[in-house]
Formats: sequence, structure tokens, C-alpha cells
Amino acid sequence: MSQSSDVNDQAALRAQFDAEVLAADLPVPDADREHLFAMWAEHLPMRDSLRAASIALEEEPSFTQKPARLGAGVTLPAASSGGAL
Amino acid sequence: MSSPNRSDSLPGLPATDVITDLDLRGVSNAIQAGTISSVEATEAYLKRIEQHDGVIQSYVTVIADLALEQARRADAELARGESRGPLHGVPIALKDLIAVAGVRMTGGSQVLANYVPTEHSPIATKLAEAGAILLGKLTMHEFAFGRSAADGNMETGPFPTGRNPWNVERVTAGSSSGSGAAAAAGLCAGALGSDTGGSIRGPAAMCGLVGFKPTYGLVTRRGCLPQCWSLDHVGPMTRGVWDAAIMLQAIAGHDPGDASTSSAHVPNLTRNLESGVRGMRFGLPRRYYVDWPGLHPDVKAAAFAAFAELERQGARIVDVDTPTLDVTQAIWGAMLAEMYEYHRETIREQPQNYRVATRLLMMASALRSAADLLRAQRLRARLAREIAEILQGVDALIFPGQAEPAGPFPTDPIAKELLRPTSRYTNVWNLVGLPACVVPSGFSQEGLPVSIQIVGKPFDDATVFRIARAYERATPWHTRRPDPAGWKL
Repeated sequence: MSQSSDVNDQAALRAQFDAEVLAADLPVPDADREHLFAMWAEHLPMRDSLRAASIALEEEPSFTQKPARLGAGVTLPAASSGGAL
Repeated sequence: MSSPNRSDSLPGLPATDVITDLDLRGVSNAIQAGTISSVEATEAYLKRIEQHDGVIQSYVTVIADLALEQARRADAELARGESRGPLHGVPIALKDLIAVAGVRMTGGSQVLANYVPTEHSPIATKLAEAGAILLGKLTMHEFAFGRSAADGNMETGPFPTGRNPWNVERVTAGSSSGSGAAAAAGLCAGALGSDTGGSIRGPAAMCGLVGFKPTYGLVTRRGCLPQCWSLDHVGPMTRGVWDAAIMLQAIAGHDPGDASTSSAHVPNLTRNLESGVRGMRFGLPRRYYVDWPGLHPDVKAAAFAAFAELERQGARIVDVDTPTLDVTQAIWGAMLAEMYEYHRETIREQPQNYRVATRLLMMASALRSAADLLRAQRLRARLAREIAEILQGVDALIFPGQAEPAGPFPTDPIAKELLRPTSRYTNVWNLVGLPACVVPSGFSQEGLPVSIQIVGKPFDDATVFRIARAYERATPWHTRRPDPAGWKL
């Protein structure tokens, strides 16, 4: 990877961090900003693994223990064989 | 690793019949038999705290006068032939996030350095009704998620987190750090901690104790400072398995003020404690826990020896696995949004009153989207189903209780990572709310305690105790005590 692409990646990462801090309405003391950026960047691969996890449409955000079978929730038309909801 | 057959060469000292050397059962038996009064026991612990806690740093608040007043009342009741049960007159202590009316509760933070609750938590009430004597409140990692710290001030904060009695240059791990230190050092007969990702089991493992995270819903959290509501559990940290079962029995049960608690009858947790493991079948998540490269070889060797002991007793161990384990750290990390939600206003108003490490961890927990949290909850539900399926084929899961023995205090006050990779040994079981117990399984080559962990079916906490006890009674680890001669700086 070239030096300029490293700089671009770093700038993009910094821009993403700044945007997320803004979106979270998080007041970050100046003294904490660089440390927080480092911690955030360190945690990114783990967060990405969460976002990349394969998950079925039927899987609900429920903590209740349901039988492990497909179709426990609502099946969207695009994922079914064409039936209505 | 130390051999279980050569207890003369084990680290520490053998337990004597001095009251502060006994486990909770020993203290309870002595009081019930009248060989020692509750006042004498309380005085013995208070004296030891005065002698040693300047180094161990396990108590943020000692309530000597109140404790002695309780002890006199307990003795008077026993003199009248009235016993409240096995905790009657037994001196214990609580992590400083469990409210006791009129006693300062800091949560390990300068933010609450002067906070005094006006009401008991139901847990404090239940312990008082069981006759336990409260010696004081125990140090902890700030708001149950900060980092280990040896510096601080017990009056004003920031507060230190406690030193490991097996080597005072090492941490106890957290966040129930003072609970681990005090129970291991004989500065109380038993302690309560709380566990959101391993905060009971981590310090118990590092300090050579039994640490029990009960099933989610078995113990109320009302009157306790939260870290993450859907992951928080309160449970015992003690020298022995019976001790932990007795403490849990006292605090378990439905609380109409905590919607998460179950209304189901709480079974007798000691009835089958000595029934053994013959014929039982245990699942070992080998790929995720034993084959993980971060597992310390001494912990691994001790775990294999422990598994062999359980097999010798007639249990069978089979490998189990499930794919969602691989994203559990990411799931747990996302759930920290709950922690930020609790602190959102306070950290804006008084950021300077948090230690810098805690403040960074809190702020990092804010940087995730609602979609991340919902994805985590969906995966968490899947994990629960997968684990439930595994548990249909085995009586319990068993694996190493920690990744490594206790390490040194951090030299840099800046936290570097939101989540330590080693927390995989504990935080998975907060996500699914299952009962989980660490029990000592030996010592590292450096003489530091190591442990195994047992995870059971929901509300089958009694079976977890039974398995832990079967292992405990066949091994000498719980009979060793850290040597006070080493409690110097």
C-alpha cells in the first residue's frame, strides 16, 4: 500500500470518527479526543464483525429463548416463495 | 502447575483453625456451636482489616460500630435459642454498589464519593434477615467497568481497586476487586460482587475463590448501581462452594420491584451438594476456549487435570461447539450502549470526576448505532437458542475459568481497548443469563490461583454447585491461604 493511500485511509477514518462523535452528540474533552479515537479505531474490526455476521430475516432481537427453527418470525415476501405476508 | 497430590509444596499456607482462616462454613459452624461468639468473630475480622487493609485496599468503608452492634444482637438471639440459619452472626461484606441505608455507596467513583443511600437494597435486607453481620463496603472498579488502580484515596476518591492477596503487586481483576481481595485475605467470611461480563468470576478466579454468577432473574438488582441492565447479576464470592450456595440462598428470590426476577420457587441449593457427578455428561467448548491461543499454559494444564478428576469420578466430557460464539465479543461490546445510557447526563456534567480510563470507556460505548445494538440483540437471541440446544445433550458446560493468572497493575492510566480479548471466558454467559461458577483448580508456576468454570442450565444453579463441590472436595486448593507475611509494599 502506498504512503498516499495510507494518508487517505487515515483521513477517512478520522472523518468517520468525527462524524460518529457528532451523530452521538458526544461532548469529548480535548484532552480525551486522541485517546478516544485510538480506542474507537482499535474496536472497529470487532464492530465490523458484528455488522458482517450473517443473520436470517426471521431472527428477532429478542432475548427470549425460542425453538431454533426458521420461520419463527415474519417472513418478508422477497425471502419467501412468493406468498403474501 | 502445582500437583494436587503434594499439598505440602503448594503456594501459600495451610488453613488453620484461627477464625479468619476458616471458610464461611467454618465460621458458621463455630458460631452455631458456641465455640466463638459473633462479637468475637466480628472483632477478629475488624482487627485483621485494621492490620492489613492498608495494603490490601479492599474496604472503601468499614462500619465497625454498626457491625459490633449487629453482632451483639445476633449473640443475644442465639443465647435465647433463636437462630436465623447458617448466616446468623457471620461477618460478611458487600461490593460498594449494593445499597445499605445510612452507609456511603461510592460505586468506586468520585462521582458518588459522598452519596449515602437512605434505603436498603432488598439484598441488604435479606442478608440482615438471615442474621449476617455487615463489616463494610468493598472497593471496586469504577462503576463496575473502570480499570485496576493502586493509587487513590478511600475518603475522597478516586478510589483504589484492591490488591491481590496472593501477590500484592498483582491485580485482583475486576470489577468486584475488593470482594475478591477481602474474601481471599480473610477480611470477611464471604462477600457479594456483581457480574456484567465476569466481574464476580474474574476476581474470584484470580484470588483463588469460588465465584458464582446466578441465573439471570434469580437475584434482584434493585438498589444496586447498574452497569448494563440486561447483563448485570449479583452473586457470592467465597472460599468454599457450600459458602457460596448459602449466601446465594439468602439473597435469591422474586422481587416485585425488579421485573427481571423470576417468581419461581427457589430450590434448596445445598440439598444435593454432596451427590457427586457420577453419570453426568459435560460439554467442553474446546475450539473456543481450550484451543484459543491466548489461554495461559498453566491455566490450560490445570483445567485438563480438573477434567480428568471429574472423569475419574464418573462424569463424561464431550466436545461441543456453536458458531455464534465467534461473535460474542462483538455482541457484548455493543451491549455497552446500556452503560452509556445510564451515565449519559453525568459524564456530560462532571467528566472530571471519572477516572480517565473509565471516561474513555464510557465515551467509546456511546459510539455505536441503534442498528448495531439491534444486530447484537438478534445475535444474542440466536446464541441463547444455540446454547439451549447444546444443554439439551449435557448436564453442564465446563472449561477454563480464566485466560491467565493475575497480572500487574497497569502503568498507563489511559485505557487502550474497550474490551479485553480475555473476557471471552466470562462475558458469553452474561449474554445468555446462565448460572456460571468458577472454582479453584490449582496454581500457576508463579504461585497464582487458576480456576475452572462450570455453566449450567437456566435456574439449575443447584447442579452447578453440586459439580463444583464434587471437584472441590477431591482437591486441596480451597484449603490454602495467602501468606500475610507477603502483604508489604
